[in-house]
Amino acid sequence: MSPETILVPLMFVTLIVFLLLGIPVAFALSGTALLFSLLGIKFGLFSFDLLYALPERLMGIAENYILLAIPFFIFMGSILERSGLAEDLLETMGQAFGSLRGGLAISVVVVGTLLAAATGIVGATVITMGLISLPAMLRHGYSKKLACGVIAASGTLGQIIPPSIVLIVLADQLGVSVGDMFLAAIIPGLILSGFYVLYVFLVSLFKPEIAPAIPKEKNVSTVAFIKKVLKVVFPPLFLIAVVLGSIFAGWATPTEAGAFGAVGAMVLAWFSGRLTRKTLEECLTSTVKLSSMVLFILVGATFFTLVFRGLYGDFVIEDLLTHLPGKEYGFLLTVNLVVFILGFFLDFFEIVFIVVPLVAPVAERLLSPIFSDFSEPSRIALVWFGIIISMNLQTSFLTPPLGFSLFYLKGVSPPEVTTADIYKGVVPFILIQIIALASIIFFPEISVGILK
Amino acid sequence: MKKIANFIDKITSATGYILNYICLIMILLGFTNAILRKLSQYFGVNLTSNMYFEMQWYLFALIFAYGFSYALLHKEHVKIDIFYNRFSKKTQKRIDFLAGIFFFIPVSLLLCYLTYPMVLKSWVIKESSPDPNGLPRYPLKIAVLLGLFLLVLQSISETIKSWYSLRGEDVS
Amino acid sequence: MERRDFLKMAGIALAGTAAGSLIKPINVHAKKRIRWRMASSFPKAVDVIYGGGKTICDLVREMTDGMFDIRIYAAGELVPGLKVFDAVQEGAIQAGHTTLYYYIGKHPAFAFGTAVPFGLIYRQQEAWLHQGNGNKLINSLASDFNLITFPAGNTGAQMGGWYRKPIRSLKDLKGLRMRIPGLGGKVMARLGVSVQVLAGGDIYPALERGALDATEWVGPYDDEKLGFYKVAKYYYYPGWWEPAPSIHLVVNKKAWENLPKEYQEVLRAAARIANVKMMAQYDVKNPPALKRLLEKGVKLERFPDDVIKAAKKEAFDLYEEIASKDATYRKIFEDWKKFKKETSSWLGLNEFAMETITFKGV
Ligand code: NA
Ligand code: NA
Repeated sequence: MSPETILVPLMFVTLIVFLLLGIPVAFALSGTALLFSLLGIKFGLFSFDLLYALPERLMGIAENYILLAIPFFIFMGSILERSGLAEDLLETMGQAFGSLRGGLAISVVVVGTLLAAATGIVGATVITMGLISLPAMLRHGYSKKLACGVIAASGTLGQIIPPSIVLIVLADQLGVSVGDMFLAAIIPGLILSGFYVLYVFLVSLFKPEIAPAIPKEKNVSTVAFIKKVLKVVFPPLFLIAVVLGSIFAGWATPTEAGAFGAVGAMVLAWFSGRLTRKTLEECLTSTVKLSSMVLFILVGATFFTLVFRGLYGDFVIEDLLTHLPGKEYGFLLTVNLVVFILGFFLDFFEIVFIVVPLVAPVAERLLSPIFSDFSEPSRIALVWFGIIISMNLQTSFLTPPLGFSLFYLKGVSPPEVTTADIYKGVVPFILIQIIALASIIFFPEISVGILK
Repeated sequence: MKKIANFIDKITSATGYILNYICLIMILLGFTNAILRKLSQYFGVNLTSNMYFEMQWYLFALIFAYGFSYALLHKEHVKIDIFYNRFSKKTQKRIDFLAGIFFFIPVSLLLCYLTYPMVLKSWVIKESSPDPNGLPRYPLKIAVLLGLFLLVLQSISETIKSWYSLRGEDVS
Repeated sequence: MERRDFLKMAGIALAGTAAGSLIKPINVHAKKRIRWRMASSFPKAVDVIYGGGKTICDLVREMTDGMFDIRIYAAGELVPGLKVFDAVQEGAIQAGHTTLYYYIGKHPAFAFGTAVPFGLIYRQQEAWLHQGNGNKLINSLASDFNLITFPAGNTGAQMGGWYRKPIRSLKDLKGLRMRIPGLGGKVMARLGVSVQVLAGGDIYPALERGALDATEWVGPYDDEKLGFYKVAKYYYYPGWWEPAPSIHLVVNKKAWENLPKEYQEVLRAAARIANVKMMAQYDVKNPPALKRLLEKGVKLERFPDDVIKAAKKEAFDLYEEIASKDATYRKIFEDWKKFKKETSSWLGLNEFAMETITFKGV
């Protein structure tokens, strides 16, 4: 047995141990990397010099313009939260749903879906949603689990609803057009958010205590209430219009749309008289702290992956993937399982890099016959395959113990919300993901029908 | 020792305060640059520059480099607390201290050590951007190295504080 | 080397002597097992250019019977695509497959190793690098960066990119929002173009919705895969900023010096083969891709003469400006300029006439 076949699994196990001991995630990742780089050097798999690739990777993160979406959107969310605008909205929307229980959670899914259409960076959406909706839900007596689950899940919608960085990287690796991937992802993304709404609706029907209805204020006439709804709904709608509008009108790139949202939020808060210097500084501080938290996790992950590759971990995975079952559904099942499990440990970026080039040719050959009535079966098959993988990766952001969205949500939660609450909260949503994934696999028209 | 920790904390707090405004400038720059670019199209004159574009991620890189220690100071780095919460206070403090000794300090030292040659090489040749109206790169790389050095200091400060906390003393 | 290994080798060498000249000393060295890592600046999806690096690795493995084993990593796998030079310089990896003009921020003269606007065409570029002073000059510069370089691929003249609106005169460039990095971008900026070097993921959506008017990429075969034709109908030629860009194999000097002489020759030969193969591949793959693009309604347009003329002037003004500030740059630029002039008089006569007859029929 070669040293790498032992070191690589051991590296994964060590990471989990460090994480569960309560070492901060970024340091658990980089500490594991440090330890295993020493082992890798000792077993002659690489020399110390390889580690000089690390500063280059660090600069790669620091210079990555796309990541600016993280501070932009966090700042927007932070202003909405601290100025009370977000709470006004969610509360009023909750009231508007009236006797409908779970109204607040449904509003979260709706807002999450809209935000997903504006950005494709994971940290950005989850944290923004966490900032604006978690305190409101907890205050209204929602169970911590449901609140966390719905936020974490809605926050990852940004990965599947275009624009999305996952889709772009996948399109690149599969050699299909980004535009096709974006088109084919729209309906699956909306189906997911529909499923989330359905779940919230059902759970609040059977377990009203975990998703209480928000009582209407007493002695308020319907007319007055409608006025109030319009008043509180306007600012966030305006903001969403600014963010999405700036992209669609061709003023901003998807990343810059975050800056439009941030400026728009400041303008709104200023108009509502709630933008003091103190609020502004508080928002900036939390933006800096939360962005740094996300970025340092990325640094830890990049160190971990470098050492993983140094130990020839990518070749270990390759060997695993070379002998996949021959039939199309067996193949899909295996690939999905591998991606799902790797999703526990590795950044989506690395998974795409390692797995997709290996399986894409097989996918093209095996899956093309399914689309024989399309004009370009192989292109459609690859797009479909890409959508399946991207939904699977989106799920991996949600999966304990290492789903990055869960870390990010933890980063903005009040202390009474524990990791356990978050882990338990996402379980139903992971099941929903699996159902959605299965429906895309068995009814390909859902995603690629639009390309016909 | 306590004095050292407090001194380091003060430096980190001060840089953190500056980062707030760096962040604000970055947001305004992103917004303004996009507006000016759109107006360039309408007026048929180039109103913007690739420099504004680069400047955004230069500022972002500063947040990237100096925010780590700021986040460390404010215990902002997420941890998984499933088991941690069930440990006794004493055990938690032990873990915090060991995390400082075996994770914070070695990792930040290593990052600093590895980054130094890259920065030196960039400085010697006065490296600049390869792109139109680009900014010089070496000051940015120097700033990143200093940020990582601050992370070393902050890691030491956190370790000192957790040591005192482990012994039941308060530090502030 | 371990003492035991040394004894084993000495034994083999002795056996060689005993058996006469059948076993040459070359085999003694060939027993040395060497593992390298090579980072490419390109994603696997840009398969022809990425394939150049892979060709080198495959050939080296075959020619040394697997003893010299180079593993290739796509952009971002070990280091980001634009950091390959740095990582090889630092010794983190032994080799890289990249283009030198990505690093003009380190020294402006690296541009001549790849391509400069209105520079050498393919035949000239090959001749300057291999038979002129090109490789010598580039390597004396690269040597200061702890590197040795080998041409290892060429795309031929690239295309001028995708535009949402036609460019009918120089005036249409004013305020045009285009993504074009490097020297081409510098010349465009001097012509009044609003150059913005957007990040990869933002380009397509920005072009689609009109936050960007234009972007450049490579040529029909690679461009088709990115799908720009769906959002920007006008496809311009020629890509005057990249008449014949060379892709380079860059090797860490110390790693190179530690290679047995035979392996050095093997690597050098592999790079030469990859160099020729890439151009041939593009010449086969681009024509059908262009045909497919035209079938999809792409409008093919030539840059107007006033744009070409103004851009050419700005480009050479820019080179003179840089040369006035940097002696090394001046030295390489002067040699390059002289070579360009001399070879143009020959190629511009006979070859040009032949090509006119071949492609235009007169
Ligand atoms: Na999105
Ligand atoms: Na090009």
